Amino acid sequence: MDSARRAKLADALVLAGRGDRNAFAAVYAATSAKLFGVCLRIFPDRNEAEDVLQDAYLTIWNKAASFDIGRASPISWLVAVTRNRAIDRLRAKKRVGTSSIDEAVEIADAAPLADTQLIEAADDRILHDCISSLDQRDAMFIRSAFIGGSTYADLAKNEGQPLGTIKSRIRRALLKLRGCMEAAA
Amino acid sequence: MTAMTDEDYTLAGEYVLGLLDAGQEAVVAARISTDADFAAEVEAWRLRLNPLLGPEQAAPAHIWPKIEKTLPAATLQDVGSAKLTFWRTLTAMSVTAAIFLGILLLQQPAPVANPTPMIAALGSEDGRSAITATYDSAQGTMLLTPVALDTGELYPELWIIPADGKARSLGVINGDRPTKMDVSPDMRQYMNEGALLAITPEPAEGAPGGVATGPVLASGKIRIL
Repeated sequence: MDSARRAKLADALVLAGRGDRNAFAAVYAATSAKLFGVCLRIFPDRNEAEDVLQDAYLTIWNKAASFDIGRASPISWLVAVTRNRAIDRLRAKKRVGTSSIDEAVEIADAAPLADTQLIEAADDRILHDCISSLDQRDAMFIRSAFIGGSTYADLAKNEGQPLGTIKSRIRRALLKLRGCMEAAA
Repeated sequence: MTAMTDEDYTLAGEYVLGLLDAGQEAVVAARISTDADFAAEVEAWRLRLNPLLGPEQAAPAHIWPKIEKTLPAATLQDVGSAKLTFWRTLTAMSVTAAIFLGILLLQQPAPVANPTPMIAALGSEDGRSAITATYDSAQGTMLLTPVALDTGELYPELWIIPADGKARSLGVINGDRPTKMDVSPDMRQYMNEGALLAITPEPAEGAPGGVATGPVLASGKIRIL
């Protein structure tokens, strides 16, 4: 997103935070494809993804006043709100027992295939290459957390390993991923 | 400003990935609002990882009308907090921008001694409510002209919301015809350019305890003519 579009989106989001519905409609028009993509990544079922998208935009409307332009770009804030709404829903579903952590890990495991097909932009390419350079298991943990909603506790239980072991393993992987992406940027 | 450590880098990454438990998340969220370097690292992790949440997919056309229908009406509290957000945002702006604003303010003509009439046009998003207000700061009186205002069984109460974002009642007004009202002496200090006037539907005797109960029907900022 170029800087003019980003500034326009930030302005619209701030206005939406003051209750301006037209500005909120502009936010929707500029970001719904991006945010529907986020919902579909977490909920591959289209009907469910649509429900989450609707829910996410209501949350955005209610929280827009707390958007702090000094702390985040509008698009990363919007993606974070949407991802968190979707993950909350995913975790709630798991709690009622319709799905399990293993299922989340399976979804996450399937993701590399999709990535290979869809990666085009340079930033995406860097992320893809750097994740590929990690230990396969570590890459799976990262996907399972970000897309499948797994916490440290979930991963430790699933792997049958002590919490401390999983934590230090993922922390090492995060530093490696960060180093790789900083070097490539 | 302390230098970021590897622990800070990983903590920011763990937060964005959602690996932390609720207690740790709350601690990190508080740190984001107080530590700019750490906030920048959280933002950097989001930018690094967000490609995993793609690609874009056009949302079906029937979604937006559904969202629009479920948006709650703005409340007086929303309007007030939005003003605070504005000031917070202004505070967070870069020093350069602040200096630039300072220059602009300096270039404004010096205030004249004669009291200047203040006006406000109060409207609503859907265009169903409109009312104009003209305030005479010398007399402390306000002329209100309702153009369109429907409060149903209830009565329109007028509120002033200055920069602190707190709504203060100016009293229940006549919604049917133009009227001149006296602004009570203790409220005149708030009648300044940029302050917000708003109307909510309330019982005949006014909102209980001076706290608005209805949605905002119309609002508008005070301007100097």
